[in-house]
Amino acid sequence: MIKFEHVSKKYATGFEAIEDVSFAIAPGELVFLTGHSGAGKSTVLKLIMLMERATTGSINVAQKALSAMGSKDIPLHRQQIGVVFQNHQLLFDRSVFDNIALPLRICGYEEKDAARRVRAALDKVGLLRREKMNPRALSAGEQQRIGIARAIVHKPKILLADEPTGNLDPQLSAEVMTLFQQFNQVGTTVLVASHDLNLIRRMNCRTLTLKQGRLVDDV
Amino acid sequence: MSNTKTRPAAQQHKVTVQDRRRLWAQQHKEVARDCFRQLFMAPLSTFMTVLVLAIALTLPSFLFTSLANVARLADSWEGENKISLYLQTNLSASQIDGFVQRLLLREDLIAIDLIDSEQGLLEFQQLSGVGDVISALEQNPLPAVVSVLARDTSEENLAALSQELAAMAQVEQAQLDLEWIQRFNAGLLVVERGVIALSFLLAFAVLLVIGNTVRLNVASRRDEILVSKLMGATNAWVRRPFLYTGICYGFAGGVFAWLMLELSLLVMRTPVANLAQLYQSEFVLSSLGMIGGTVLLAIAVFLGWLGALLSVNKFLSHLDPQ
Repeated sequence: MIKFEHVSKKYATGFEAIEDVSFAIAPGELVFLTGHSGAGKSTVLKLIMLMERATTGSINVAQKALSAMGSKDIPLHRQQIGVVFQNHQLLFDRSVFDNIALPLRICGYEEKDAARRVRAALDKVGLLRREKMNPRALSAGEQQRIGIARAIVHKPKILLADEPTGNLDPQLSAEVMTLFQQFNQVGTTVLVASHDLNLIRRMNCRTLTLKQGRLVDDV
Repeated sequence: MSNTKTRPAAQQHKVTVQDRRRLWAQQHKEVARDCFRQLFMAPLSTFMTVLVLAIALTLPSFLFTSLANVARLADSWEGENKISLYLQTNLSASQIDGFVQRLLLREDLIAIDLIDSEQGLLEFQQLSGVGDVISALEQNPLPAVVSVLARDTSEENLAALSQELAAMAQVEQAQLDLEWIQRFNAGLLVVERGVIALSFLLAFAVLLVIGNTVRLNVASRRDEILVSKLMGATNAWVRRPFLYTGICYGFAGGVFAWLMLELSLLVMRTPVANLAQLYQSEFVLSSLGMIGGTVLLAIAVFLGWLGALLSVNKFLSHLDPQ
């Protein structure tokens, strides 16, 4: 589903974020990406989402080479990926419902169909009663779960999460991880970038470890 | 996704091309609704922006309408191929008749119109307002006038023809109204160019006002745009609400401009008619009309759309992956 072959990313400033990274993630896998901050975890996610382009090497997502994609192909590529951001990136000028409906509006779902799917996603993260609230009024854990609901509402093939438990206490982190596991169980490929080693150990999943931009471990 | 060794992949809902087309109208409706809601959320600032646009649009429209009116006035003189022959006052009626007969035979004239001295006097009395003075005269001081229309309206021919006619024994004076009309038209052309240049400047101002308004709008919705782009929004999708905003501003500005223009023309109509009457003219100030108004609205909407497009594109161009 995701395949990196000798991928390097060098920024214009000369900083080399990742260097010669190769790995492959099969469809339906749940994989953790770990390493200290600055090790290149975010860069890997950005490359998969085509927020950035690799300097050298090739990346394939869903059997398509990203290097061959022009600006016009990016939207469709991104529509098949759900993303959970570290700072959840919710929009505070609208309700929880409208936040989650955003990806569906982008993909062009009908209003009624979209409403049904939004409620299903809210139900999955256990926040069905919060739909009319402003996300600002929710707790950090709830906001993160809304972010997750938004990432999975359109049933993406791939779910990426960048430090999804960054601001959460251990119990909430465990809850969030359980959610990821559930989505993985219905066949979504999940890649979670996190530096929370305790949590990752408990999950007992395949883990890619980055160190100073190089892949040093894949177990 | 043929490779599903581990588990069946998540069932992804596919939105087909037909769906997209069907939903396209729905999306536009939603966006238009949002756009209206946002414009009415800050009615005062929206109104002020619209007013600035309206003023910038009214000025050139007003000048163009005035220009069209003046040009129409110039056309109504239609003296361009007309030569007036003032005949000698000592000619008898039969002599004049003979002269007109001779003119009728000429190939180079297409119309001959005799205004004999009696008729001329009558018209003069009716129109000039000095009828009493004239009726006090013992003798009719006016000559008979023959106005002829030349077939060939070229400048040289008209000059040559008027000279030739002036040389005829019966003709006291031949008058060709060409020269001052030429000057007038040349002057009109200069003014017209000036108005066009001014219009471009003001159109540019409209573009800047709308562009700047939309730019602020884009800046305030930056997060939304960035998040939407990450979720796979196309540039067209991101642009749509802003284009609607630009078009709304342009349209509203156009409507207000049209209103302001019609109002000022309405105010001017009576004084202009009075003025025209003093010159024995039945000239009536014409308004922008349906076609003119539609053109004004179309230009305003286009400028709104273009201003918004340039603003959003400038922002979007920074978002492509490096």
